[in-house]
Amino acid sequence: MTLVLNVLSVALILVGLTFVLGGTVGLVRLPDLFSRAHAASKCDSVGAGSILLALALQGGLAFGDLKIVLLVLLALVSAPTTAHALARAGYRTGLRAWTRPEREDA
Amino acid sequence: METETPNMRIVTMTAALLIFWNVVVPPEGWVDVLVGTVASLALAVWAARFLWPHAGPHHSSLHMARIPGFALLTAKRIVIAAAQVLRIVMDPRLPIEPFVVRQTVHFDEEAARVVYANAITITPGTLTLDVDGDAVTVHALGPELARDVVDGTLARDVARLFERRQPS
Repeated sequence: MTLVLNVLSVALILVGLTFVLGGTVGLVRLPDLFSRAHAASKCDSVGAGSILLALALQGGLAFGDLKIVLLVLLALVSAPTTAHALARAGYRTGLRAWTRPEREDA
Repeated sequence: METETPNMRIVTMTAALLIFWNVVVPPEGWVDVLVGTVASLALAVWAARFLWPHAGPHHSSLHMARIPGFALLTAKRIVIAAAQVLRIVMDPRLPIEPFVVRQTVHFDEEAARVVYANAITITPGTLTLDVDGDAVTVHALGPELARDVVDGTLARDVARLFERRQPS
């Protein structure tokens, strides 16, 4: 049982790290605030959720792990809300969305 | 379930917040319990007065039965959204065609509007920029990713859960 929990925990941590890395790469590669908000809100919430679930498994599925499950839910709800708040502030202050420039050969 | 009175909403919300407090901060003495109770009550009163000053959402038993399904669908959408963004940012060509679309969606319930705006943001490739009455402004990373939002599928899912009048 411990081996299964350890394997599941490591898998969840690797998945979490992949998503967190993806969110960070997105912040660098995507062209404007609105596109970057997609990366920050979506990848980071799943990344943090996976890592927190791995911690819950390492805790041995005790009642105290309910705290971690609540934190996962909080992360899943707060990430899109934060992204919306940032994007809304940008939109209302006149920031325009980046669009792909027309190709000359098109 | 009937629409709750403001006092009932304060009591319900205080109880929910107190449960959350006791799970996150296991009380070790009467001071912890007192602080948790006062904080929960203050937040519930503030929310009832400023956040939801009007009547709360109407939920029939049918609506309540649909909540677990919607929650599961939402969790699935969150994971798919993250995977989509991960695929896009790791692709050397960065395959995005961002655009902004403004749509008009009417909901009778304020809660439906809030859930719809949040559901757009956790849907793959779309992000709510602004909500002004019935007008919702959405940023999408590409036309294909915004299909459920633009064709009204997502709005119908939310209306099924929160509205008295069911969508056709």
